[in-house]
Amino acid sequence: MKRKTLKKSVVSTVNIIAFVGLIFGFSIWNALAPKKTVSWNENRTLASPPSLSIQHILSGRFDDDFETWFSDHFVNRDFWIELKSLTRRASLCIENNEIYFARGERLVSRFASFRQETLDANIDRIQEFAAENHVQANVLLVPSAVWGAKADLPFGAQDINQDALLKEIQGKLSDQKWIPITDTMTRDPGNYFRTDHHWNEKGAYLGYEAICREVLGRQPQKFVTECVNENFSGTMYSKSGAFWTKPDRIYRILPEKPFTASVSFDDGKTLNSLYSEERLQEKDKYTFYIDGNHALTSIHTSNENHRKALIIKDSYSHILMPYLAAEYEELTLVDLRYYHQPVSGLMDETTDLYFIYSLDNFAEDPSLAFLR
Amino acid sequence: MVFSSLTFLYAYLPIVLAVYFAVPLRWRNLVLLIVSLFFYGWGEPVYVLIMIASIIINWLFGKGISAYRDKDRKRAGKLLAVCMVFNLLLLGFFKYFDFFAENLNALGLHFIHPLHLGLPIGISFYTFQTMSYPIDLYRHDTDPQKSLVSFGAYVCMFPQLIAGPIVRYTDIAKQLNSRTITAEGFSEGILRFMTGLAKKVLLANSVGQVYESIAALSVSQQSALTAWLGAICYTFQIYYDFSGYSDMAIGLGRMLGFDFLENFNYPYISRSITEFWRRWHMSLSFWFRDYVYIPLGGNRLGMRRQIFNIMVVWLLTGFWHGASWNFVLWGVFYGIVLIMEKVFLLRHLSKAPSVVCHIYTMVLVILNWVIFANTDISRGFSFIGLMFGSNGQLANGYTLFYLRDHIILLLAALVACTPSARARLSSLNIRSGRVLAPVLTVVLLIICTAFIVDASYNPFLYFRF
Repeated sequence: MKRKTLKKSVVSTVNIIAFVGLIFGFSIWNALAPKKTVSWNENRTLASPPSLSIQHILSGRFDDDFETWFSDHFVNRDFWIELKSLTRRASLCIENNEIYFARGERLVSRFASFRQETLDANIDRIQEFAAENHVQANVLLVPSAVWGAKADLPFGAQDINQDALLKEIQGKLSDQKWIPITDTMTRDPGNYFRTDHHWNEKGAYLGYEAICREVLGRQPQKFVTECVNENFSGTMYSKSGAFWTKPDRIYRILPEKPFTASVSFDDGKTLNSLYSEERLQEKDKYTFYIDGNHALTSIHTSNENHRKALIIKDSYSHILMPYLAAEYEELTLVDLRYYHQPVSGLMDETTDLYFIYSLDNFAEDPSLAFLR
Repeated sequence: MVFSSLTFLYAYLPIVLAVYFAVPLRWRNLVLLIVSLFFYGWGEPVYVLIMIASIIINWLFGKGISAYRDKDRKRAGKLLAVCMVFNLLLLGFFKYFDFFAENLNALGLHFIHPLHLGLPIGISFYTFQTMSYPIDLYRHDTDPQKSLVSFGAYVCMFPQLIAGPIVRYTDIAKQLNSRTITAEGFSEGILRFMTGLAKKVLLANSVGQVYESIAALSVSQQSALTAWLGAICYTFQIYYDFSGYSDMAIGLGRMLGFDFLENFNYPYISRSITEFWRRWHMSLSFWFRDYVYIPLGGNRLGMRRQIFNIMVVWLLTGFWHGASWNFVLWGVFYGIVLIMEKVFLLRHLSKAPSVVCHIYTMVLVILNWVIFANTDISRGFSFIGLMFGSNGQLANGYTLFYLRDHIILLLAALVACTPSARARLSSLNIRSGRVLAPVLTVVLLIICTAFIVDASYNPFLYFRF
């Protein structure tokens, strides 16, 4: 009997040491550890310490701002994120943060909801814009990876029917030229990156093929690809917290008939090719293709065919450019998330007008409201 | 500041524990008062003044009431009445003014307008606590607290300040003046706190996300079974959130040397609504019983008066939960069911097989939580409509998705709301030579920390430069 009580008090002491040790240990480690300013995985600047002004303290926001700062800089942040993801996986969840753990170390974003109002507004905006400018727009909406990777998705996965959604949008965009990508692009996971939400060089080629067939009425050219980086851990890798996933490869896309291209951006930056080599050193290596997101991107090629294209787009179009640039002398890319000036001035009657988006983003992106 | 935040776990709590145990015993109430005011002021830098005012005024009235309670009952009664009016006005003004203004405006009466002041955190809890003090003094249920510091420490003690349990002054009067802290008590406090933290972070937050995800489905994606799953997830969420908070409060209290009364006793194993309300948020039920129901006459003045009393209590209980009609409806619904049980249902239930009683109780509880969850009453009813197949779908791929994705979570939530889980865990602990307890403390704290850090994880898909 006596031994048992002794044991109980020993265990209590161990328990106290464990708990107090952990909360004090992490507090002190946390206070002493050097603070980072940028989170590589999250691709964002971490919060700065909350202002200590009386005004800010009395505003009632101090509590939340402090917690944001405190957790942004919590020691070994990535370890905790990965542990949470691992815990979800171990408890048989098929997703973490809305990213499926699919077969073959593939991470796929769910597409389970969107606002019908946003989608309808986007469709109306395209119809109105085309009518106002007396042009017919070429519309390429690419189903998102969860459509293509269906074969690899875990049992139980359920998302919006993207085939039906494409059909619905096609019906509502009856005045425009619809590019039926799913006629030739099959549900092959290989058309998308494993760790990123974009389609890859194989998927984009199918997009290019469809444009050649439906818009340009020409045979598509042939290309070869060359691996330039093997360490691409994309957005799905970051968002899922599945940091054990092996990285993707990034390819340069080389035309059979070589041409040169120069690229300039609204901020004055220029490139003398369709690739931004320095971006391969960064986290988001998808920005290798035409330097990632810019409000306005102008491409001039050595293809002297006087063909011009204006492309209203999201980032799905970036990996398409090495292919599509082979068909045009001038391409102007507008990202309405950042470009809020009138777009109609960027084209004349000889310009091909494109809308190139991933389907999920098109259904959710409110920035098409800036189209004028 | 909430307990399930990194700020609390890895900054506030270590500092508070260090200071609290470093100072001599006689200063501990003062330390407790200061750190609790800091805790409250951290989230409510302005309204902390209201709480301080409330503490001082109630303490002064307490002095007055105890001075007159023997020699001049009438005068003491008047003081008590004024004190009650003050407390109720305080609560009424901050919590219900806008509600009344909006409803009067909707009726075309425009002599008052909503002020859109924020609701001071925890005001519903701490006004109920402070009110118990002058009442108990008047009734000779307790003796006056001489020290304003100790009274202040009682009212704003950070463990139970924001979400209960509603601790009555009489329950901890002795401990305020002298309390003993043992290693065993502290260790039990840690285990209790970890139980609550895990309930909140691992169970409540996770099932809460499932509920929100389901509630956000479009009508065409919905189905009856999915809607039931959503309602069940909310049922789990509100229990684990609230009882987890009470567990954390009780655990922290024990670490500091206080024994708070239990607030939940496995409510979801009840066989009637009457039993449910003896197990759910007990400190609130006791409060209404002792300070409203019994003073109104309770069951001593005949059946009609008793029914009236029950309805008054439940109208107030509903209204206490929030200044919105859905809470009133929620409370009135329970009042009606409780009266029906009292009049005839309990007699039949006692003869029915227990599975029938469980199903009867939980179906009512779950449906009523849907009313509770939706401040927009019509949304609540349309969700209930979906549960009964209003969109013509029994189940679909989304039902499978939610079940498949959260199967372990749902099973864990189901098991953890019965007493058998706890019994098995503690027998396992004893068989393992009690090493399970510290192991669980470490593992749960680390996993909870991971989930809390992850909640702030916010990867940008589109980051420009």
